[in-house]
Amino acid sequence: MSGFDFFLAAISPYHISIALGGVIAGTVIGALPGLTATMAIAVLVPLTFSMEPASALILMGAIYTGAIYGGAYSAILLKTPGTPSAIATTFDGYPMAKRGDGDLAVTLACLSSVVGGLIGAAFLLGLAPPLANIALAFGPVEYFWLAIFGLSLISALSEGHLLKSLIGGTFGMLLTTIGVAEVSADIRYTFGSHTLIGGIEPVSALIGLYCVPVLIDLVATPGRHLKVTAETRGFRLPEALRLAWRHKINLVRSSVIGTLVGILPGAGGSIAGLVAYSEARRSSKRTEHFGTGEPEGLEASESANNATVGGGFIPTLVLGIPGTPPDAVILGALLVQGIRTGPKLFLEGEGSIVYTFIYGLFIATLLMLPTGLLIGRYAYRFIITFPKALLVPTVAFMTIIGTYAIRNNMSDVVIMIALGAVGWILDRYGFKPSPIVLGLILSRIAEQGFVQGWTIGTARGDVLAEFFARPISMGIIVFIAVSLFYPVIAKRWRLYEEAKNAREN
Amino acid sequence: MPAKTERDTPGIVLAAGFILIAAVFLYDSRNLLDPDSYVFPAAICVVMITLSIVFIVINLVKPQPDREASQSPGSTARRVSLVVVMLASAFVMPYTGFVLAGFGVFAALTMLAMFEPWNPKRAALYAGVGVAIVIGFYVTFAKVFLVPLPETPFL
Repeated sequence: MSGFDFFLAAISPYHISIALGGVIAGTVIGALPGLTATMAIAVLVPLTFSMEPASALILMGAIYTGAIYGGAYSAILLKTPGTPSAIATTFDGYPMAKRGDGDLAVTLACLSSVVGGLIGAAFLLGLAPPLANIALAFGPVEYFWLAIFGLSLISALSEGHLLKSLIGGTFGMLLTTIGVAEVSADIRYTFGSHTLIGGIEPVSALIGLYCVPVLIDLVATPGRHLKVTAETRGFRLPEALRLAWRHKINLVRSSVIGTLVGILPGAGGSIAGLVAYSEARRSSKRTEHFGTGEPEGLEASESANNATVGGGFIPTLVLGIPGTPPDAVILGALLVQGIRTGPKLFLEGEGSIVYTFIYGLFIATLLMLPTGLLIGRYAYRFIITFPKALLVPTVAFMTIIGTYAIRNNMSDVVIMIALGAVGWILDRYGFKPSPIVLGLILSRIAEQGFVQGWTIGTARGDVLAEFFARPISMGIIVFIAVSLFYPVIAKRWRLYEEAKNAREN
Repeated sequence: MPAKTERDTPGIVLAAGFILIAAVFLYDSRNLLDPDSYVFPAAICVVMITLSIVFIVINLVKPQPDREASQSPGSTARRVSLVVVMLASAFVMPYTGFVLAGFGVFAALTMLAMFEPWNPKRAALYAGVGVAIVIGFYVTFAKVFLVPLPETPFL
């Protein structure tokens, strides 16, 4: 079979209909806080057992891509990431919605997700085997530095309170250490409380830190949640297309970052979104507008997190190592189907499944444009017109049930609400929730890499060399330094240039 | 006119609280025998204490330009009540079941978030919407996603 035959197989009415159904189901599930892309696939995976392997993969890929995009709705409209991948979307998406541009933000998120999804799928189609080998070069220390790279975004989110943000970041990291230790599996820092034995689940914590403070403020005043504009402005698609075209380099760069981070096993969409956001902020001419509703920030996060879908499939299909948590579920489903992943899956004769799937992923991503725009428009209209007296209990209810559903554990709900209340108090005094959430999300990867690297370094007799002398580590450290100090250096350089010009004039 | 400078007293108090938290964690690390369990959290605690001390010293020695504290207009009683109702629902749910607790929390939060006068039509409409939402969530999560929600013999 040729590539064209695989394409024809992917666009059969059957495959298009299951891709459409998967995208819609994934988008709706992803929009509910607490229900992650992993859960969306896990819940719907039994549907695939009776399907042909290629059809099953298309359905799971469509659910996955839809769920990652769906997380943007609640991130933009409620400041609550529907999935962890959408954390960075809240930074500029919610401020856009607050000033009355929620419709534009949702449309822009959809366009960016489609671009990211297509670029990720293109990498999967063209570069899967060589890129998978790069991922194998990453050891524990590289993962540690990658997590620290994500944490360096704290400097970008500090809003003039760098020390407070760094303290908040360490607080988030410390919270993650409660419960079962990441490497040794010791029970630690529970102080005799049974509620804390399970630890602080990162997704429920981020629901609490982001959503509960919004509810606390919503319930206190009679004003509307988001600014309502009198005129009907539709999808604002032309405006969003113009913005996307103007920021095309940002979109492509963020999508490539998302793909590369997706290839790294276990890294996932949240890190991809954060790293792409950091990079977009660093390279933008409007750096100071980031965090106040800058479309470039939203585009970076959304294109990167959807690019992880294609990127994550690269090690999953080539090496049998799941690139992201949802890929682990998909890998399990493939094993049920009797499919053995590996380089042979891409070879002539055996490639029909994987290539039909990749073209199916393209189709599913393209289908996300009309479905995403439609669902997004109604979600936006719903949020701005729904009476506050019903919106507050509905969202509160969603946070409670969504948090409970993660581990079927009521302790998580109590922790989520308590963290939300603490987060509201901290926010009032300049300790913003985003650095705490960054610490929470990245701490596990950082700890695993740190402890393993430390153990290996100790065994080799040179811990410093283990952490600082490996080529990939050094590369990431350079990026961290640039990310941390570029805003200061750029500001100094600008002042120097201005002073120089003034002297010359 | 030079910017007014002022000590960030709430910030200093919270930073002191973070030092206390980190100290408690460090103290509790003594109970852990495996270095793999405490090397990372201990490093975080040291960083957290250092940053907090630097923050406090800077604010005591050289107060920063006064930044407008984020204002929180509105009713504090409603804010506290929201947290209390949500926490109460989490504690009550295992005993009353999801649906009964759901009706209760929905009704309580609707009343808390209501700023307009009630009338019979609005009350009936909101009650209907509340019942539909609670039942909708119950069916979606318990029957479709097979999440084992707390249940009692009644509901």
